[in-house]
Amino acid sequence: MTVGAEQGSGTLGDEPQSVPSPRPVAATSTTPLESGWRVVELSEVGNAVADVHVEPALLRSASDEFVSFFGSDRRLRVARRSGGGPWWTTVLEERIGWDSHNGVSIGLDRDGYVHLAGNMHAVPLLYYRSRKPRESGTLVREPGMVVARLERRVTYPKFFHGPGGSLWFAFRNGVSGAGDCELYEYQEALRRWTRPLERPLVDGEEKRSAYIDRGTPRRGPDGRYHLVWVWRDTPDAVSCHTLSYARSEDLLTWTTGGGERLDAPLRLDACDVIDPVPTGGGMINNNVRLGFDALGRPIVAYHRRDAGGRIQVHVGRLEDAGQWRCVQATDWDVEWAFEGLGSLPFEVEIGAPRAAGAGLAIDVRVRQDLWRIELDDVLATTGIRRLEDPFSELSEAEGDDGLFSYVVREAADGGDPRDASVVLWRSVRAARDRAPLHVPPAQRVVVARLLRDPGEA
Amino acid sequence: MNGFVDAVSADRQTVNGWVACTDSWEPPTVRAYLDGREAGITSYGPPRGDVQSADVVNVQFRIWFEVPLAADDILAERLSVVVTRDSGSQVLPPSGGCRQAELAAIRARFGPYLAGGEKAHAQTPPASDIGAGTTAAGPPRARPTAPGPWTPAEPPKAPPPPARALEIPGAIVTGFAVRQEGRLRCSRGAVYSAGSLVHESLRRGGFAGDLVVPEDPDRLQVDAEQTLPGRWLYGGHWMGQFGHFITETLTNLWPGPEGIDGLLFHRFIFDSEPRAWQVGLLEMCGWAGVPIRIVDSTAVRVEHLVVPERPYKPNQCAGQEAVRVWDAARPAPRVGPAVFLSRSRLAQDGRAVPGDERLDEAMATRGFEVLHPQEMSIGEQVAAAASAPLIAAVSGSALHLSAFAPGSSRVLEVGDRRTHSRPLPNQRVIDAARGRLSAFVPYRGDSDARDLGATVAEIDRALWE
Repeated sequence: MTVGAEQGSGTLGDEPQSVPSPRPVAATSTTPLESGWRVVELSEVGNAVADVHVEPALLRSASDEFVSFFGSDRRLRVARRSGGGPWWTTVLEERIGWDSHNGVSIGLDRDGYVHLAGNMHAVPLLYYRSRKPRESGTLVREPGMVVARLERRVTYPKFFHGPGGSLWFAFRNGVSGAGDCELYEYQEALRRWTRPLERPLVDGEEKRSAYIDRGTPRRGPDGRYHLVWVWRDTPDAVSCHTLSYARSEDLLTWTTGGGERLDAPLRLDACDVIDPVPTGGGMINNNVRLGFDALGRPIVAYHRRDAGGRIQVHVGRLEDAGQWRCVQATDWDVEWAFEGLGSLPFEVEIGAPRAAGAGLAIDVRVRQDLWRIELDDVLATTGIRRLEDPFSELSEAEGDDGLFSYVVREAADGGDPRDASVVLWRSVRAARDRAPLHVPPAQRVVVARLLRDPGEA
Repeated sequence: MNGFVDAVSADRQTVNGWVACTDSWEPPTVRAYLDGREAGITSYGPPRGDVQSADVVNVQFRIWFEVPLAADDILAERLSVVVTRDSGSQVLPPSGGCRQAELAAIRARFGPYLAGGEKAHAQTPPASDIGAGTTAAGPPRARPTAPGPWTPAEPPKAPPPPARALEIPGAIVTGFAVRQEGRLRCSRGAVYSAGSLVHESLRRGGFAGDLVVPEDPDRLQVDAEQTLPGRWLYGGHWMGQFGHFITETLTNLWPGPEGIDGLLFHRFIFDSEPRAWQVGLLEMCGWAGVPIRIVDSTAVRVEHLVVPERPYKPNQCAGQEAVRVWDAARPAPRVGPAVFLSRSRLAQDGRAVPGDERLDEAMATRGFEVLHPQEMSIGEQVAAAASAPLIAAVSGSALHLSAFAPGSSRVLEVGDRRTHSRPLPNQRVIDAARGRLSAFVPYRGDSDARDLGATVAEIDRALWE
């Protein structure tokens, strides 16, 4: 079966449209793209190293935008602009090698101070805090956050906002196959981080590690925080298994989808299992996505192998009775035999599910093609169609120079869903954290401001 | 043109400038060094338009420092902004405008105080600080408030109630004696009336490092061979040290000279020989020509003795009577320059450390008139302090000259190894009695040397806020 040929509307659209190269900057557009977005501004930020695939970070507040990336000299940069003004870029001491894990996260506390952590893969915490509100030009390296022994092997830093708008920080302590997920909360009055749980959020028990969906914990329409993750037993990506879930009202006390309290820390035997995908079952970490349907129910999209060994998109929904119901949403000829160590190039990448009318829409990239899977309110697939959205965060378009164009969307943290910013950037694909044989020139980092008309979903 | 350091921000923490480059997306590295040490965090921004229009491709930069910069970091080129390109490194100089701005900023801040400044000697102090407002005892003045390092001085203890003076006929003034007991020195020497101790005559020492405490008995039958005829004023102890004389001795004379035939003091544990500066201060307070008698170890009888309560309690607090005495010594009000009372030329200074001597230059750069009090007459010293809107000095007696300055003046005390992180209690007492704003710069350095750069940075923080 050819992708999309027999399912859904069968609309293939026009000739594939690649993501525009960030250089030169394209003109803004008053004509909405197929995805409904209208580009209202493009602004160049700086030049980024292109021989390593590491995502820039983007954060928008009411008054400021922050972008972090590694410059052509491999040093970490934090750019900030206020009110759409010019970018000011601060160069920090951190340098990146070729490890794609070493992304950066930026957060703002309620007093406006900038927090930054990143460039870490199972190494001691690298954390900066600004000395002045909003001023990323005053970022100073801090020796640590809370507990030094927990901060020696840090990966996957993530700042996010919790109850009352407080700033939280999640990270993995440990290594692939043996790591815990830690959760810290920032106390502005004390200018200090705390560890309110006094134990890990998710405990790998030295036998496995939890890979949290990068979009979670995410506050849902119900006001609760939802957490989705997969377990991985070894550094080999093929060892991922057991799609898991928990939710909380305060990030401290966690329950299953049915409301049953879960003992902390969350463990393999103390969590809500969405789908018991076995090891080798075709699920991979960093490729499960949480969203919500029109009724506010949690939806998780992921992939696993079918009986024929092909990769199929699956969707799980938390039903009103508190049980997860999972269905296969595709039946296509997509093969992706991933295995091994290091950062893998994703042949299939899943987008976060979102409500579309009474049903759902899930965008999926298969190699360089974007597809939209549409499901009805009983999770039956009603269509799969090609999608042209050069500003989708799933985009991965190869250029003539062998580099790929990517998009990073700002961290989903509330705000107007019809007003978005994205970072357009180019680099090699993830290459298992090894240096490429050929060193491409630095590539421009561009921020695009997108608006969607009120009628659009 | 390679670029320039253009300006220092108002908060003194950011240096702005621009640097020429071949590609504004790949600017050369700009780093800052303070006294040879790398400092600051550099950010790069858009090209400067006027430079760009002159066909010089460039980017602007900002370098942020955790510690505010001092003016002479720029003017004395202690700050080096270095641009590094493939072709090598070069120092970016401050532009002429930047230099002018730094000088102007200093003048704007200290304009009224600078020696030779346009406003010097032209500004009249607030009326509340001249004349009757400070010469009459009354309710404590409302203390001004200010943010930052300048705070209303608070005494270690609450100010005393108004003092009173006793008139004692046939008073016996016992001889002075002292004995050591551990770290304390226990002194005797007080006024007795009909065998009873006049408690108002006691020196209330023993507080916050003061180790001299009285041990005079409540009852003592003693007679004296010599009788002083007339009406004398008991002035407490004749303190040989400069600061103690200003604070403890002079202030006991608050009843004033009317009807007084002579001044009677006890000696103290230090040298008690009257010196010219002490006599000069008495004269300035209206006691010219009045006989002075200092009781040593031999008791004397006084026909009539006025015994005032001591308004100044060492290291504790001071009453408004003390302020009235200091005001009486003050010459006619005028506004002079800000002064820095230097200790660098003292023949002996046990508390000095290497680095102190460079404070003179640093303070002069900031517009202070550097004075060496020991080279001036006492009248000149008092006049300089009384007319200075801002008095700065390293902790010690010289800064106690600020007792003669009005409440509108400010005191900047620079800590030494002794005071380290807190102002001298006696300085707090003086400043609180004056109701003034004061600031304290903690000692920066180790036991061997003062860290001048850190000290000056702290001084600037105080001066610029």
